[in-house]
Amino acid sequence: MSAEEPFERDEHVDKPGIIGARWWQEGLAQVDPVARRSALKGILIGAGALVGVGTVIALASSSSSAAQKVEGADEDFKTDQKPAIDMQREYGWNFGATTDALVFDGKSTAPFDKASLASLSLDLVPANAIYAPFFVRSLLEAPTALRKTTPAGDPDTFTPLKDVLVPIFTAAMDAAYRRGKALANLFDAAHHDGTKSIAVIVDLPGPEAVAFAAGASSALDPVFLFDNWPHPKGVVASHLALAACAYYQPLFAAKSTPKPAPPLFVLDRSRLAAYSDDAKQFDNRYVGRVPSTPTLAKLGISRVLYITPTDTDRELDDLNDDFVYTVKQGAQLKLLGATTLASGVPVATPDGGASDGPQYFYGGDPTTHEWFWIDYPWSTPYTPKGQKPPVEPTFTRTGPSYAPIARPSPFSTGAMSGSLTPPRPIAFGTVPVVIAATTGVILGAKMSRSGSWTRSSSWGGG
Amino acid sequence: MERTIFAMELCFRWDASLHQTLREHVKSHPLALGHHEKWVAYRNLESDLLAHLERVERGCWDYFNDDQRAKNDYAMWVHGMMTDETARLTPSGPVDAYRGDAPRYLTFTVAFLVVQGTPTDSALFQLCDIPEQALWQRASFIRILQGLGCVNFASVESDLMYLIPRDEDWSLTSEDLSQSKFEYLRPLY
Repeated sequence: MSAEEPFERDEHVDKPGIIGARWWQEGLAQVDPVARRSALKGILIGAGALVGVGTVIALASSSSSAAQKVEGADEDFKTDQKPAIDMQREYGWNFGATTDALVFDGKSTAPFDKASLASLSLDLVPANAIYAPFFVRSLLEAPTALRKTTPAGDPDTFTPLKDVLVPIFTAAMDAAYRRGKALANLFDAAHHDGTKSIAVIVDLPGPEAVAFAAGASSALDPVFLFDNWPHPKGVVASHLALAACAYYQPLFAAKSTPKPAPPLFVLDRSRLAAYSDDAKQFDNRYVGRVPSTPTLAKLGISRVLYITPTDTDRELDDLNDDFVYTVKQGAQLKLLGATTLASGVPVATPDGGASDGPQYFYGGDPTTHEWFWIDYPWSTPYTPKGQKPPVEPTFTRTGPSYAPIARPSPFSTGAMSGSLTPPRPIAFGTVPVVIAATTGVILGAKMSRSGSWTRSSSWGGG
Repeated sequence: MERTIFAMELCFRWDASLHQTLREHVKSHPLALGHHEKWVAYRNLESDLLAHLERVERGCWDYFNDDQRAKNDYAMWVHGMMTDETARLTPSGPVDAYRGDAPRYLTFTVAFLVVQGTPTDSALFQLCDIPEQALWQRASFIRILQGLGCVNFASVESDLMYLIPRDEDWSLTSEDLSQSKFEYLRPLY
């Protein structure tokens, strides 16, 4: 056993009737952190019963008792990497940075009821139940989540995210919303068959991805895949995606998406943002969890339309293996630059709201709009009676002929056949935490300099 | 040091690609690995299980925070795996995808032995706090699987996973599942 790989396989069965194994973390058997954790009081009521029928267990911890323990003890400290979202769920969304504020660009002045944030994850659930298993609600649950344990270095008071979250609406969101509406028009089931075999993945910066989904929701079913929590020092500014969700929440809550409708998987393109300095940044990055080709096939889907900011953008590294695999399996995958859905007139100011302003079209003009189905021949162009067939946009489009190329990266294997189990960098999406060496108790985030442990000079690692 | 157990077993209607995917999860799980690598491996596994939950016909899940029961039950899961308790002892024959009157099944099991009182234990407790009338609803299984990202493997002493069968022609039959040893797998709705 090594410190880096504490789990070792100690039982293994591999027969025609069964295959399996057991892994053991020997290090845990050698210490008894619970018994020594005088700072944490485990209260067990009704032990032995299934939780589902009413057992209650409470991990009671107060910041004062934890602080007393640290200040009164002669302990060494070490650092360890822990999954960022786990730490936030336990110690609060702003773990280690409780005095830092989120910065919102493009605050909306529209009426906003904070109480409605409690139903955000319900309002944004896919309209079609068959997509529910793919829905990732992590980000949407963050606003109302409460801190369960107070780290020794953080203040006693805790401000829930919902109390600092404000909806935003920007010019870029307005344009993205209109682009989404343009795509919804193209997917109008009344005029186009064949769309049921298509899954759309929109991969734009968070707020724009949300706005696009809102615009498209009249014909496509948004399935949000936001798998992190915001943080004041977060690498991924997911509070902006969340603020955009709050802005469009009434629209999503209205559930205007038809049943059935093709899925629109919604990704935040900043999910793999560059990360370097763990002392100043909180690694709340995550990977996109788009359903695999075999899974989509079970839904009758054999075509994938991947939407990037522009026609020359490509899929992020975490999707490369999956896309290569998709094509190798015979499914069709094409790319669409969001900017090919454009208006012939300037974008209105944000003050115009989402319902006013120019209409967007494929190719930027009503006459080129239905050419989409010639560039992406999964349906046929719709030409109303007495009107001319669509004309080809004048600009070059490379998205329709796009073919993903296998490339090795920290998030992809580079295998020519792709992979359903792409790699992840070690320590990806984790944060350094300070741990009392002898007890194993997490004292706080390493980035938090206010903790009492900072008087110690015996940090390890980091 | 007291322990808590979380375990889940899912019984799927046979699907060749799902079987291949799950077998790959077991085979590719390294001999030794770190906390985060294990977390990632389980997240990927959970994602694949979730994506196929419409094929789940039976299942069970447990969360017990009684130390003795947790240790005993975990030993029981391990014993079941090592002694082929629920696996077939002889082949059931090749699966005929077009023979609708003879469905085949596969089961996938995971179990965690968790240090009691840790944040992971607390999160599991909340995750599994499901009303009695919803215990066997497919939606409850979805909720639990979606929430298993809360498991920090620094707080997990041991974990196990197994797939029945390894080979397609050893898949479980309806007759197998009707035996009393499978009574713990309840129909989901």
